Amino acid sequence: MKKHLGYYTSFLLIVAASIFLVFQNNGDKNVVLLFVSLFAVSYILWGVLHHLVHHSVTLRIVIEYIVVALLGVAIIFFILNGGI
Amino acid sequence: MNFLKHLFLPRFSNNQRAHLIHNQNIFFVALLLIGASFFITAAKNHISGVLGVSVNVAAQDLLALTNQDRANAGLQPLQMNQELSFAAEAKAQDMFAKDYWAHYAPDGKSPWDFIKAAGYNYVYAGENLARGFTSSPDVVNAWMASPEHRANMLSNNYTDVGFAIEQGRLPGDDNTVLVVEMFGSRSLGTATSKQPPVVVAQVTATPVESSPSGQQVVQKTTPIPTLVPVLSAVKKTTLIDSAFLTKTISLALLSLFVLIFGMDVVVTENRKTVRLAGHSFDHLLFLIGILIIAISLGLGVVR
Repeated sequence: MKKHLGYYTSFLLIVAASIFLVFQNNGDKNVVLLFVSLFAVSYILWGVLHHLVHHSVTLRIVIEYIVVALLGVAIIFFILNGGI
Repeated sequence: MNFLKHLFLPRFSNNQRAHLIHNQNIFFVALLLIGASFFITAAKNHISGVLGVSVNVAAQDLLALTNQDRANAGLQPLQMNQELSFAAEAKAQDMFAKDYWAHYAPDGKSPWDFIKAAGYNYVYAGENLARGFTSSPDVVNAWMASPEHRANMLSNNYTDVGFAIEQGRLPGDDNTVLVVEMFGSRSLGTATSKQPPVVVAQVTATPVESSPSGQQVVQKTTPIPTLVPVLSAVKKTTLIDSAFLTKTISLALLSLFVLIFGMDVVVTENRKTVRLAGHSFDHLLFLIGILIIAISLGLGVVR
């Protein structure tokens, strides 16, 4: 677990920064979607890098991170389209 | 029961991974949400009476709520002022026309210019802005939660207030509800209070203009050309509130996925299951981040 500490700390920083940036731009749908998309892309890169260094990477694992990221973006997109 | 376990828990039947979090099923849910997003956007444009966002923001309600908060703080109530309402309306129209969301226009025009142009010769003046809210209490609560805006709301420098509530396009949002609140007083010390004076906020000015010799300059005023309603409001009721609908569905879905990934982490850890797959713990953290963002959306913003 200790060897993963750096990765998880960096990921928590990405999560915190993304939440902060969305809070700061809450009224602007386009900017919110942009930051959420950047959060999703960072998550994919971080996940793949993590597996590349400490585990093994297969196409299926890469796809797994992509679909979870897509789900996150799709949910935010859905809320933004339903809102005012 | 076995079917539910198959859907929600890692076991032999689903290759040690809950069926709902198999890649193809997550992908299917994501596509469904994207498709539904486009459907809702189209429905909001074509059957807005059935599916749309319910809005009820009115100047009279904002005044009553503001004065309620002032009464709680031991302050005198503000009076609705027609000139300040004209100024607020002109400011709202200017923001829509010039596509900005700020106290100062891109051309440098300040809130005080609008107030003066409306014929209100102020000693103290202030401005609060809000967008994206769907009810009057939400607007006032958000202003009261922000120290700078709260200082304006509870300032004993002001005696008058005017509101403009308009729906239109602002940067980043094609159809938002914009609220402009202009405060003012024409003389020094007319407001009485049990409270000590409130520190003037960033969005407030005390611009008694002076000439280089220190004499007060008479401000030229230009009445705005068109009459606008003093008690503006945006009220719209729809059969299905799309904002509530999409947020409820999204939060329910996110909670479900967080729960399933959480159970996956616990079960696979307990069983020491070896899988060639991504880390459910990673997905859990990501989706919790998305959940926090989702909860914050649609709450409106103040400036």
